[in-house]
Formats: sequence, C-alpha cells, structure tokens
Amino acid sequence: MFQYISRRVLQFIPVFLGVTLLLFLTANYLPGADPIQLKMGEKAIDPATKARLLKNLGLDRPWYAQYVDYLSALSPVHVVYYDGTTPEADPKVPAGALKQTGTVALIIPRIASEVPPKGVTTISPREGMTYTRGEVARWAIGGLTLEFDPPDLGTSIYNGRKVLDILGETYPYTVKLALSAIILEIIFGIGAGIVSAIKKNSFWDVLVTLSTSILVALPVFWLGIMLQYTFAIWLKDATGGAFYLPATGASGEFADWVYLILPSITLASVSTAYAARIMRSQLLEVTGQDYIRTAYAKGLPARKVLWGHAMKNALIPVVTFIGLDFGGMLSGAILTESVFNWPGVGYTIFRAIVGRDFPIVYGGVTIILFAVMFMNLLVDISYAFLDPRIRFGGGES
Amino acid sequence: MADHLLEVNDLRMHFYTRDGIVKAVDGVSYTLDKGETLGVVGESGSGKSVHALTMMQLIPMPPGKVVGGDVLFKGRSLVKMKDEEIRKIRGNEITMIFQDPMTSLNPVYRIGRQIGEPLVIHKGMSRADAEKRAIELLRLVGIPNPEDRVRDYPHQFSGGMRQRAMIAMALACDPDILIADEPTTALDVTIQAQIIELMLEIQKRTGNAIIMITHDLGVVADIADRILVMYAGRPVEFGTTDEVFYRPLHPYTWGLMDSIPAHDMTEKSELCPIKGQPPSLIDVPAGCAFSPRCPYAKERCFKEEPPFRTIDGTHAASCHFAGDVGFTHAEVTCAGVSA
Repeated sequence: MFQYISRRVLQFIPVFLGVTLLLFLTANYLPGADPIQLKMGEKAIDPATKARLLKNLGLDRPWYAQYVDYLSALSPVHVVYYDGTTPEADPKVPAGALKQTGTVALIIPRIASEVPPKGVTTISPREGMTYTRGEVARWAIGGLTLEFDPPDLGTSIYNGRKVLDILGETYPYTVKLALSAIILEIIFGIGAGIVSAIKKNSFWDVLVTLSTSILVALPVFWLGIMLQYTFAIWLKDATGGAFYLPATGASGEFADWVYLILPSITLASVSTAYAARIMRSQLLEVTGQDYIRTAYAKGLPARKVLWGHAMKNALIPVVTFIGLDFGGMLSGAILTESVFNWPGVGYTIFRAIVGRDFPIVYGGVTIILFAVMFMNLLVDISYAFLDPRIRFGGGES
Repeated sequence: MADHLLEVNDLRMHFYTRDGIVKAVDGVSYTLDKGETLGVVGESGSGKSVHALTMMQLIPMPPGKVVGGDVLFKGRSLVKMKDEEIRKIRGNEITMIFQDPMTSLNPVYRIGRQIGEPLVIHKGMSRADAEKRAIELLRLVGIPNPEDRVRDYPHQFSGGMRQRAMIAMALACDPDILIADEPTTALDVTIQAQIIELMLEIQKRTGNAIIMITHDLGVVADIADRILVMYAGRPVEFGTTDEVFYRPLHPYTWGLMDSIPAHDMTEKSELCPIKGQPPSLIDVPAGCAFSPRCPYAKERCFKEEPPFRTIDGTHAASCHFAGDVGFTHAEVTCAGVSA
C-alpha cells in the first residue's frame, strides 16, 4: 500500500510540471490588453514607467524565466551555494540583505556570496523586488545550504495583495459549495440509482431515467438562473426572501447553509444524474452475475444478497465517478459561482483571466492542481479498499 | 411416496418471452434416493440445468413459470414453497455448485467468509466460528495451507482451487443433495478428474446424494448410479448406468454413444455426430422432438408424442419403438465409416 501511494505521489511530479508549463506557455501567447494597461486604467502610460513596472513584476523576462521564478517561489526548499565573496554594496537593497549573484537553475539552487546569519535574510533578485529566504529553517550541508521557506505564489498585479491570501479567502467558499453539492450527489444520485435498479421498469424507474436525461441536458447556468428566478423572485414572499440575499450571507439574517442550497443544487445537478445512471446500470449488471446466483443458492435472503453481495461490487465505479467529480468541484465551478456571484476560486480565476492578473491565475491553478491530484489519490486508495484485485497490484492470476 | 429423498413428477418450466413460450423443461420425472448419484445428460439447451434451477426456485419468475408437475423433497413440494421456506433448504439441505468457478465467487470477499456464509445463515454460527470451520472445509477439499488460504480473495485462487472452494461451500452445512451443474466444464482435463474424484470421496464420507449435470457421458459413466438423458426439455431415457450404457433403448442415446471419440481412433476414422441441430424450444417439432434427426423415425414419430414409459423394471424411455424386438442400435450409423 505504501509503495502504491508513493508511486502515485511521484506520478504527480510530471503532471504538475506539464500542466504548469502549458499554463505559462498559453498565458504568454494570450492575446488582449497587457496587464499594466489594465492596472492603470484609461490613463496613458509613460513608456519609462511602464518598463519599470514590468521589470518590478518580473514580466520583462521571457516566459520560461518567469516559469522558473514561479517554481522557485513555490518550492519550499532551496539549495543555495554561498561563494564566500563579499557582495557589492547596492544602494537599492535594504541594509543587511544579500544580493543574488548567480543564475537560477531548475532545481532552484541559488548562488549567493556569503552564508547569511541565522534567521531571516532578505535578498533582492531584481531591482525593486525583495524576498525573504530561510524563514522556516536553514541547514548547512557541506558547502551547500538548504533553506526552507513557506511556498509563495506571488502578488496580484491588480491590487498588490499576496495571491495566497486571496486564495485563502476564496477557497473555503469553493470547498463549502463542493462539499454540499457532493453530499446531495451521494444521497440523491446513489439513492435514485438503487431505487431505479431494484424497481426496474416501474414508475419510479421511468421517473428516474427520464429526469436524469433531462438534468444531463440542462445547461448549468440556465438551471441556476431558473432556480434564482423561481425561489428568489417569484416565490420571494413564500421563502421569506431567503434566497434573495447575497450568497455570502453577509446580512446574517439566515443561517449560512441557506445560501448554499440553490448553488449546490445547481452544481450537483448534472453529476447527480450521471451518478444515478451509473449506479442503476452497475447494480443491474452486477445482479446478473454468477456470484449473485451463488449467493441466492446459499439461501441468503434477497435483501442480504443486494446489500451484502451486489452493492459492494456495484459501488466501485460509482465511488470512482463521485470522487473524480468531487475533484472537479474543488477546482471551482466557474458557471455556478458566476451565476450565484459565489466568491469561490473558480470565479476568482475567471476574473483574473479577464483582467490578465497572471499571478492569481497561476496560483489558482496551482492550488486546484494539488486539490485534484489529492482527490484522485484518495479515489485510487478507496478503490483499493473496495476491490481486492487492485490492492495486490493486479500481478496475480 | 415419501420413500424417495427427491421425487420429480412431470416437472414443466416454461419461459414466457417476447418471441414466444420457451418450453425449457417439459415433463421431467425421476427419483433420487439417499446417497445415490444421478447423472443428467444432454446437449446445451436440453433443459438439464434449468430443471435443477427450477427445483431450487432460482429461476426468475417471470419470465419463468412452473406450469405443471411437482418436485417433492422429503415429501415436501419444493416448487410450491414460500421464499422463506425454500431459503432454509437452499445452501443447507440442497446445495449447488456451478459451471464457471471463475465467476461464481464474489470477487470482493475473502474465500473464508464466502465458505462460512451458509453456516452463519443456516446454523446460526458466529462469523469467526464459521471461518474456523471454513479452514477445516478447505482442508477437506484438498486446499494446501488452508489456514492462510482462507484469508485469500478469489482472484488469488486458480480455477481448480476455486471449484474446490465452491465444493467446500456446498458441503458446509452437510447437505442431503449436492447438485453439480457442469462442475468440470470450465476446467482443465487433469483438474476435471480431480474434482470428480473429490466429489465421490466426499460422498463416501458424508453419504450425500449427487445430481451431476453434464454433457459429458464419460463423466457420468464413472460415477453415476443412474442416468437421465434429456433432449429438448424432455426426458429421453432413464435407467441405471449399466442399462443406459449397455442396453440403451432410445435412438438419441445411441447417437450420443456414437459421438464419443474413442481413444483407439485412427486419423482415418471419422467422428460420428448426430446430424442436424437441436430444435428451438419455442417451436418444438410435433410428435417426438427428436424425430427430425432420428435415422429410425417412422411416420408415427412425426405425429404422435411418445410417452415416457417404463420398458423394463427400472429402465424407462420415450420412444414408440423402445423395447420392440428387432429395434436395436445399428452397428454402423455413420456413412462411410467401417468400424
């Protein structure tokens, strides 16, 4: 099991590098207004000022250098080689700070002139830009020094706030929405699928089959708008105006979960329909298997055959689907969040793309990448618990 | 009447499908006594498996329906039993093993748990006690290191071992009747013999009756006390193994005997199959179901369904001419073959 998990964690590295590299590449060729212009508004910019701003933001460098900067800032560990020479005095760098003299390589070793004193050291890789290094710890190993820092995702171009702070505020909203949507999906998707399979060809089965077909076909944003219209406007008096209020629940008039109802129904709609269909078809397929006949031949009552022998087998693909779907929800539901003005990470990234606020886009995608990969790992582990054939690596006959 | 352990009387099971009524079992009768082995022989679709599943009420109804006849087990009707009554018999007094051991075990549960399950249901054992008993059962069916293997999953067992595990499961509650539905068909030839031997060995020890359903005459020749030959859902011939093998009465049985490849065949000798195909069970030929393929058929055979009648003591057959003087198996029925 440990080997299995560590293999999966290692697989994450190429996926992470591939996705982020692609992200930087596409962002570099994204057409549209440049971020400086967007930041400055309608005012004409003096070319010298613009150049200075670009330089301060690191945007004057080629995209691959920016990519390395990003990796360097994100990495919690840095290998630094201090060469022992005294740095030249640089009036722009604050007193006590070190000036970086070497280039930045991919595994992020940095070369600086002298081993700094214990504790925080500020370095300035570029004019106008300072970093603190060795915030968490600093270990000297041989001639090299290992520095540990909290991962950094840079600052927003638009308002200069730290990207991690911005995501720290928005991500809980995404998690809350995803959790409530996934609970709906588990209860109603699996429930409807089971009822539909057990009462095959009955009224309930037809109802489930028909309504899931409709749900799959409905655009999410349309469903969201219709729900808003129905409950917030048309039934405003009947619902006491509960759904009329902003999604953040800022007014405090209703409990927080009230504001989650409509967005989570909207977000869960399509996947609940899929989950129900998968559950139904899996259960029907499993109940036709030979081992179910064996279970009946043992004298087990139908109820025990269903819940004991059929369900565990039928649930395997459903768990996979719901787990992966949860990973998808954790990456922010741009449509649902936009329709409900839900301040989650999807909406934040969407606005950052429009505003060319690249650090937020990069940072947001990074967080999502970790969340999705973590969910996939959880799914695979749960799969191994449900299906013993996976647990042993599948090497046996 | 209640002398026999199992008494099948004119059992008829039909399936009502969109294409028509499938007469899967159409008037099967026989008796089975304690400790006896009955071989049920027939081609695919002859109703041999369905008749066993019908007795156990393992046929989904609808589309299946018992339209006539009865099965008495210790004097009680199996086909008329309520679900909770038959459940106490299934896996307890009458147990079954199936053709494909690869798919007959649940892949997500350990072998020990699956073998012990009948004991938990029928004998009220705790799961831990049932698992201990499962180790003994695995040892009984010849699984090495049963203490370790009991914690294995089915995919860690080979085909032969899985069938042994199925037998262990079927024996858990010490049944009166073990129904084996083509238990060796999916196995290697060498394993087949081992499985058959194992079943006989256990029968000697426990005295259970066996119903061995197979299309392989070779299997039943070795082990059966009596043989029922089925064709198109109907019984064709029923008698002791000696009677059926040495004095067969029905042309279909003759044909089956001829189609067994002999070990002394040369490359020049041909196999001698029964010509034609088994009939559709929706549209069974009028008269004798075998008449279109029967080289001895006369006009009467195409019009009149022959009754299943006792010809000679324990030996019964459904042929108008069975037992007639001079109506015997011709030495050469295969064209162009000189034996």
